[in-house]
Amino acid sequence: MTRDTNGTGPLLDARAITKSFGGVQALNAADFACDRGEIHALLGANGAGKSTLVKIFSGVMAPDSGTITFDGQEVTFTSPADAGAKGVATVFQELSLFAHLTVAENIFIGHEPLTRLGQVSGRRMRATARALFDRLGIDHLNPDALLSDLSLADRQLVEIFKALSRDPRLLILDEGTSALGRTEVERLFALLRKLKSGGTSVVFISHRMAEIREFVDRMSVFRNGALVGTVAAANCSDEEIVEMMLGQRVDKSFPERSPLPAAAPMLLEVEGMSGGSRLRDISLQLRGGEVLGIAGLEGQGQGELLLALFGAYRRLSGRVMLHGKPAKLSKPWIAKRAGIALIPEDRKTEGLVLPMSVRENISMATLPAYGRFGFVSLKRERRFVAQMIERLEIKVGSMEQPARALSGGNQQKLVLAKWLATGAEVFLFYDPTRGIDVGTKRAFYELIAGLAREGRGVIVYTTETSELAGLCHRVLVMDDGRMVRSLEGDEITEPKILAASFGLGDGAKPEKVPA
Amino acid sequence: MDNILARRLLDFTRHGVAVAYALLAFLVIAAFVYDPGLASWSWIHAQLQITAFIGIIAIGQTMVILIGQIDLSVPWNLTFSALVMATLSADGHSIWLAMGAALLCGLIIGAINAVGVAVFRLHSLVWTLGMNALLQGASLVYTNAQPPKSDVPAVVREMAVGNLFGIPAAALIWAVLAIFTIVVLRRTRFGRYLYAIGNNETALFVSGVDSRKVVFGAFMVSGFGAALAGILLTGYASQTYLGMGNDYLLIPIAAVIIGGTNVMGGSGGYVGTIAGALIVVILQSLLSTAQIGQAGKDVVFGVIILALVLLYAREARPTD
Repeated sequence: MTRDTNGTGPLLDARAITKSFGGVQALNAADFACDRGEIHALLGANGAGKSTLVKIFSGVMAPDSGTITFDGQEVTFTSPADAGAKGVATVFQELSLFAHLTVAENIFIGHEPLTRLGQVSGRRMRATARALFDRLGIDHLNPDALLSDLSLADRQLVEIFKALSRDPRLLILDEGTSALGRTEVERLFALLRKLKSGGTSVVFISHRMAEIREFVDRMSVFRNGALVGTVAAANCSDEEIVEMMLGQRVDKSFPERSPLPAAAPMLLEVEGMSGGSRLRDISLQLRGGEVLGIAGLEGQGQGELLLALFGAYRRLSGRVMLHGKPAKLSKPWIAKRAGIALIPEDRKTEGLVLPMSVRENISMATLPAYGRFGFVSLKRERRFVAQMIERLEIKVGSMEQPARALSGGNQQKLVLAKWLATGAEVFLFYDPTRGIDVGTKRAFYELIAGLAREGRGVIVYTTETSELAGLCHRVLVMDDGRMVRSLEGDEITEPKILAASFGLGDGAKPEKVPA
Repeated sequence: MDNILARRLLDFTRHGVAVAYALLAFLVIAAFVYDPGLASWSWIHAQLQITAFIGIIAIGQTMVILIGQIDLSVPWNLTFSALVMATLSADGHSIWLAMGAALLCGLIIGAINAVGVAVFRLHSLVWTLGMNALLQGASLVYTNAQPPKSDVPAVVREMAVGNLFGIPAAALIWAVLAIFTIVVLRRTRFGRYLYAIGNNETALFVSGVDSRKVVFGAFMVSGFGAALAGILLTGYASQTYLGMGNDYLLIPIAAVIIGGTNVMGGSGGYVGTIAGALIVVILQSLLSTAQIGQAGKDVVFGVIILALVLLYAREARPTD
């Protein structure tokens, strides 16, 4: 599988790549270079710009500026098909397979080998798939097996083979090991090493750094949309990497944390909550006046936990106690009545009805309070909404404006206003400051601290480690649906949270439990 | 100058209700110009008489379409409920009991429709179509394909074709229900939730509101309206017959859409539907006066609906 190459130097060399979404700078003059025939890991905290970079390399999006040199020539990747034709194949986090097709059909979808009459040749497809498996030492996959009969790990292999079937020069794996156990990771890397010896380069993005670092040649660390540095994996310590990921602290000036009185009443207790594959034996306690942070890498069950506490998740086991009494939070309206509020992940699709007015959105959860016999007194509703707009300093032209017309920060305030009105005791925040400006972020910190001062309980999951460190009395770290670590008091520092999330240092790497 | 005018016109067409009423005014004037003999109370009276049935069915259809669904079970719900009333009445039960049973029938059918949509999460297009077929079969079995030969009670006839102060009684019933509907849509929780579901049901669910109840409400109103129309049409035709509901599926839906309610749900309302209902009826009448055959009528209807949907669709297109 050795090939001809145009010249020497790195296979992929990206310079000064810049990309912004709205007001958010995802990549800021980022450089990245990958050599021929190496396995190169991309690291960085959430929001560092790794995924955006990968999307640019795979033709999903175009950079605002910057140059990409591939195999000695300057290129632009206009679409995934274009990137594929030029030799870059990407395996994304979300699997893009067809459950009702066979392994071979999935691998060759879009470029099936044909017979002379132009029909799809099943025989050649199977043979080619088998040859591909043999070459890379995979002997347990049957090309005729239905994808739906495969384990998640094998599906991920199929996804990788699908990318390899186009014989790429560069293979990019985004979160390639998220579904794999230890032995499967080893098998995957055995395969990648074979590819590498054949001259293919591999760029690998994984949060499970501890698992992969022994397998990769070099690592590039990103932070705030730019490259911090590229190091050889063999001679770099965990601490150094965490430091590179964190960098210089920007002072976000968080409000003073109110001390948690020893006699603070217990608000919410969860014992042994499990549900599906995303929540495993979760236990937690929340006191009045406490801000409890949920940390961990993205997608480790934090969202599911908040939804479960809000009653939006079915088939849960375990016990929930509210104010010391058993509670069954089986539906959102039951949770609402019990005094629980959820500021959901996506304000545009879950938090707000965008075409409806500011007024209608703010009053959405509390309409029965503004009139009797099912009627809504517009006068009372308007008075109340005006109060909320003033209290949260929401910037609106008029309360009849559609929510769509507001900025992200103000939209998020609408969601909060809706829930403040319910008089809830427990507030669940899902990444409340994602994509909103710095000023509004600070306003949100004040509001969260204010809720705690009033004696309410707050559970906040956020992808910004600094927020956890700045706001929380206690931080729980989740990994693969489990609580793996609890940090309190002086332990709540960004490096410790980050290290725990990545399963580094402190010997805190969670035991992987066989599925 | 031209630009401003053009933009004003364009802005105007974004308001479905305004377009519907402008079209209605145009049609009425066109009718009177085409045949000055039409400009009489008796013509208006006749239009109101017919529009009332469509308008009553369109109440529930407006609500169902507002939540992004559709009720295709109206024709045989209407027929089945009317048959229930007629047979009970023929068996010597009081007419009030017979009417009550028919309306209850409509409500139950509406509730079953809602079960499919709200509980089993099936699309109403399929579920209510199945319900319509089921009711058709049930009607045939129930009557042995022989509609009951019964005298239509005087009360029913009065409700359908009687007059009060010279106005058709059916139109008065419609007017009362219409006002009630407009108030419900604008001033009640139920109305607010209908719009919220049509725009973003997830957000309503995450606001801690049981949206299933709202879906039940919308479909049960539609079922009730179909049954009521069945009773009135029995009085109008002085008989119940199989297939009496066949003309009452697409025309009320057309009225809702012409009235500016978004077919995908979330925006519109009954004020527009009233204009829509009058438009479909007056257009029929006008085309008949012009001696245009059924084929020609269908073409004109199709063109108008396509044109309006295209016009309204610009508004519905997301801008972000």
